[in-house]
Amino acid sequence: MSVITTKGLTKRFGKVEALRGIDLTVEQGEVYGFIGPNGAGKSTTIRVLLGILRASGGTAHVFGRDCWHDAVGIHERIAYVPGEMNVWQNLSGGEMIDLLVRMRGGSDRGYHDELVERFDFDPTKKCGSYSKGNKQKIALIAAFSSDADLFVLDEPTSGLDPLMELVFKDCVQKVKAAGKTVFLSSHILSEVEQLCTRISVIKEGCIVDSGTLQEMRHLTRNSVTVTTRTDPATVLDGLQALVGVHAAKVLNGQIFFHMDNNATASVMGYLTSQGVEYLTSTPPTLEELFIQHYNQ
Amino acid sequence: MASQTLAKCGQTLRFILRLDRVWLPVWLVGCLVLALATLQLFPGFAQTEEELTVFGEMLKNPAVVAMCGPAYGDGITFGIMYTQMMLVWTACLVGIMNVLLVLRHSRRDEEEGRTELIRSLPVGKASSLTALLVVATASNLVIALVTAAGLTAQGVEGVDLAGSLVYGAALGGVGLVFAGLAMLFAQLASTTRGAMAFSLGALLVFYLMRAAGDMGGDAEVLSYLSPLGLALRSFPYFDNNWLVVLALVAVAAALVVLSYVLSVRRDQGAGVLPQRRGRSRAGRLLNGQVGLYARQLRWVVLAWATGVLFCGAGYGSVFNDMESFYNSNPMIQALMGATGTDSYSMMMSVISTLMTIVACIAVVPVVTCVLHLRAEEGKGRLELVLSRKQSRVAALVGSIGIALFVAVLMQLVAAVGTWAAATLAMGYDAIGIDVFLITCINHLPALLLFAGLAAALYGIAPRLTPLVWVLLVYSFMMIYLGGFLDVPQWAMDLAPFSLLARYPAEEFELVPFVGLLLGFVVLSAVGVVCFRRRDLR
Repeated sequence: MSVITTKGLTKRFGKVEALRGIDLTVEQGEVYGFIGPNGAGKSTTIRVLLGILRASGGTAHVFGRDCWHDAVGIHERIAYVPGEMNVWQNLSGGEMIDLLVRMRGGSDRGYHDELVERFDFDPTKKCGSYSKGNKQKIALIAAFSSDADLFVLDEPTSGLDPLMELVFKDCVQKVKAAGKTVFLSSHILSEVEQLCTRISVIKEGCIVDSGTLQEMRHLTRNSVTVTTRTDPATVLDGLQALVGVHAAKVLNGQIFFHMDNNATASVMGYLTSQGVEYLTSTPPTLEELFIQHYNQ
Repeated sequence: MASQTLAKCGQTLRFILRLDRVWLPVWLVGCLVLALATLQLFPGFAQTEEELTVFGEMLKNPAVVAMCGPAYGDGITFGIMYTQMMLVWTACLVGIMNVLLVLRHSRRDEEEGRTELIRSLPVGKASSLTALLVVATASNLVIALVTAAGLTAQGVEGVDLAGSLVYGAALGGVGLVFAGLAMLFAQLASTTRGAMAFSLGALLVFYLMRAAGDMGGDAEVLSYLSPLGLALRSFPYFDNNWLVVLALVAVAAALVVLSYVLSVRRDQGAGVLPQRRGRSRAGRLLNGQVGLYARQLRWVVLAWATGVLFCGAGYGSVFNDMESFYNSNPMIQALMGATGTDSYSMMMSVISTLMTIVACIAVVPVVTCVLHLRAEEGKGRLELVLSRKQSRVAALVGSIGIALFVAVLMQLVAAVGTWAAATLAMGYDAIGIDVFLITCINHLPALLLFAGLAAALYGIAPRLTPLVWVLLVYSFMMIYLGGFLDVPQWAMDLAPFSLLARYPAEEFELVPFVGLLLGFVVLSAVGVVCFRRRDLR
């Protein structure tokens, strides 16, 4: 069963169209990446999924239930980490963690103390005096110590230092291993690349691409570096005549070019005939995919 | 060095004015309209010389003295009458304006991280505070001058320029003292809430000090120690005592200097008073919305309950003086006797009025308990709650429930406080606690109606909620001045309190009591239904 399904989801604020037909399907047990730049509609989508905002059109279901009408019932099985953590200044960090866990209604898995230690968090300070990263830890500890079925994480690592990011990634791996579903919104692509099985890219309120990282790479180009026995200038001319080769150039006797994945066979055949000495081919990083989408 | 600490002060000043280009004029015009429009009403109170003399005797009534200030002068004039009835309340309003003005540009900016942003620019350490000081001083100067000009220009008999200047200057002086006080508390407390609580608490204490001091005797020194009591002792239109104004300005200057010293010595973002450490795990009570909100509101409620207790006690303690005032004043006896009133029924009428004023004060914490949801929503914390297994209905109904509890608490405290003080002052249980309890319970539906209205407005659109405060100020004006003026009945009835029977001066009536309760329920329901349908900000 799909955990999250939205169909043609739209949201208008006055005249501004924040979401323009979002279709999402997140399956049980997967870690789903939701990437896009600031203001693309990531948080708006999440706020609709949580029943904080009411959709202007389309449908949004979590666990097969309507996000707006069944919000409270759905929340019992959700752990949510907001992008910007707003705290009650006069509560201590420890009190706020307990409050958040208790208000969800589910049970504490008993990981509280372990998480407080792993995240190196001092729970006795007043919330108002925590730094951004420490406020974020409150939300993370409250989320990961609960036994939710769906973890909705909205840019959860903003403000965390690299060590704490490792702890976070480990927490995500653990809940994934336990068969839970994770919906991770982020613009830190390395994080998404390492954790997520499937990805959607959102741009100006529309999903512009989605699939597994593998599938998305198939649609794109590899970067190739090659040296040949034949004179590079000649090879360059030959390459440029082939379909599926882009931005070819020679630098210090090496040939650099981008290659469409479906042109691999013909390009390799040609290069072999020119006597390949050395060749590397790297798949695009998510960064490159992302930049490719956003420059269109 | 001096140019370093004050770098970019001018720009900061213009920035404050830009931010407050609506807020500040609204407050200034509001204060001035209130001060000026009321003078117009006074000649209507007493048309003949004789009526004026009787009115003068009425103003010596201990209840009036406790509420407003001492009677003074050789003979009564409209100027003196106006000062005694209006100066303290207008000064309180000006004081609140100054506290809000100062805190919004000092501690609140600092708490929300804006000061840090400004201070990272080439702006001097003392620039913000200095710019704020200039704005506050200028505002109070405007209030002083325009009030003086406005009062004189109306050409009411007995309201001359010299007296009006002192009146305006006393108002401005009180404003400056509260600006200084708020600046000091902004340095001491590390949160806006704390600084606000200290400042408004000081206002209440100063009011009660002068209420006690104005009753005369050895206690009068208390009035001199309170800026409100001191302002009254400028005796406008009689002594025109400018020394008092100088004293107020001197006190303000001392407070400002102290604030500067503290502000340049302490760390940005911190208060002088240390932050306490908290518990590492939450207690049992902190387990849901009601627990959370109760925890957030407990100190506010406690502070207001104390205020209501003292206010009730302050009024209760004058009943003894009132009885002797009646017995020793043949003119009042003749006047009251003509309308068939004796000292007991006069007392009942005064109880009704004073307890309504106390109930008006109690409305503030009741409405605050509902509207704190608005603050929670604005600060993004309601989202945090509602993304858990918590419903919107529970959020609003829970807050209304807390408001209901607080309303009952406030009225009980008011009844017990007034009764206890009256009994102590008179030496025997002259009036009976049942009278006070029924009076306060009678007012309960009106308090709740305000809570219901707050809930309805919040549910419909949070930006409409200030209308509740407008209705409260209007109701207060109707109670305070409505009796003296020929206000049409429909205008009186817009104030929820006026719809209820004036117990104990009149018989208790069930119909308006139940009617207002129904109004509360309906408004609350409207609020809940609308709140369920709208987006969260």
